[in-house]
Amino acid sequence: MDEVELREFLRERYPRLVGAVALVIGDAAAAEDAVQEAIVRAWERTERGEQIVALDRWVAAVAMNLSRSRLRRLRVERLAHPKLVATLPVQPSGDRIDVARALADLPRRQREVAVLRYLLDLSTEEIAEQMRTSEGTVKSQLFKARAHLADALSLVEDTDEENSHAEHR
Amino acid sequence: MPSIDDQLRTRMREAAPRAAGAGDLVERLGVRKRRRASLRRIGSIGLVTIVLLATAGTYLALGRAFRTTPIPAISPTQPVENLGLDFAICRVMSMPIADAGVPGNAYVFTRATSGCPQPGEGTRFVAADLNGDGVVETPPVKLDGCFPPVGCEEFAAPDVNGDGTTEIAVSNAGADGYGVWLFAVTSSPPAVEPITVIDPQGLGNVQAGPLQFGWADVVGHAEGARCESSPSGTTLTIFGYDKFDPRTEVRTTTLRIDGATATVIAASNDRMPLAEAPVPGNEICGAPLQGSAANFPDASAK
Repeated sequence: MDEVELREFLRERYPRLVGAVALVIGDAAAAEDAVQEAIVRAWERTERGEQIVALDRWVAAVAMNLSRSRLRRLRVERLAHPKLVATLPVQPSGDRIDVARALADLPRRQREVAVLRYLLDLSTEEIAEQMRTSEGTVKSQLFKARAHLADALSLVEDTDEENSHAEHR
Repeated sequence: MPSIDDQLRTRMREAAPRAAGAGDLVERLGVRKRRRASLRRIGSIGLVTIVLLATAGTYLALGRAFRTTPIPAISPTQPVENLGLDFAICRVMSMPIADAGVPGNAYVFTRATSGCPQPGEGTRFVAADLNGDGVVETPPVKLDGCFPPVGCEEFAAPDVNGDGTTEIAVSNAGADGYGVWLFAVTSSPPAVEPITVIDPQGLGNVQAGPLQFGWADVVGHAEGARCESSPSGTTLTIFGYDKFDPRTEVRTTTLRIDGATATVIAASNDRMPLAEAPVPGNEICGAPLQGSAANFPDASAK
């Protein structure tokens, strides 16, 4: 990864990766720190001649792993949930709080699946690969997360059944 | 009206916190990278210093304790970390295996560069010593996707098809547990090969390609694998289920493994009480789990 590629990656993918990790762990500053650490590790690896396929997925996976390790070390995952709202940018809109709160109510795994799918646009197969689990488990988690989020955010189901269920088949 | 999925995409994009990202981000990452390199150097120097001091201290203490014992002649020995390879290695994990009943060892290790990379860093390999002579006979196979901070480890050496030759299970610490790959060991020619799934009847809950399954037992779900013996041979069954309902749906896929090929021979989705669902433990097909998984689920990857 040369400097041009790095700058392009930072411009194109970095903001969304930070946002995704922040939504999962509930701490924007820690998310930014984890994503930066992951990018540096990727940078070091490519300098050693290693090839990283799908850099954005690799960075997302490593950043989320690093965040989890940090949370585990501090044993504050439960306590961190309220921070999901508290650490959002200054004067967040009501809509942001609603989404953050709805996500915070989900089990962490469902939260991660939902963010990977809806914010990072990963396929079921890619999410399964990233989370080291089966596609069946991902589909199940995604189904539950979607149902909860739709209910919590009062989203109205599209009348076109084909369209609304297409992604979960 | 857009679908719920589209609405969720939009709402989540609007809700995601914005990165503070400044124009000097590349420079800041460069500083961070240099700091990591410095810390690694300091860590290596510190480790060497501690080892030297500890060695000297031990030497003096033993010298005092056994003053009358003649000092043995020191002869150079081959570092065990070489294992007969043409490159330096470190972070070596080993576990006993058997090739057609002959005892040997499987190794997972990191290629040493200027020092020893941190856990989860650097390039990890798996290889096997098929006759127990301390030298690996199989070409090392690179392990991809060893995510920091734990990275790839030896997981177990089960004989999943009951043919007297153990397979090598390698794990990577994931969100709540482990992702596990299986490798077949062959002696002619000596090789360690990833086991590949084929599903000619389209039965399974697993993907075709390299055999991988989860090993997790947390609040929300469980995944694992177990061997089942019958007169027609031993098979490996992979299972997984959620724990949110008292009656859960257990997804299973049964594989017959022959050499480096795992053929799906059965699959099911059965509802049953949670208490009756299979539970992953700290062994697979009778082989104890290794490394950070040894006390699973108490000491899973943290």
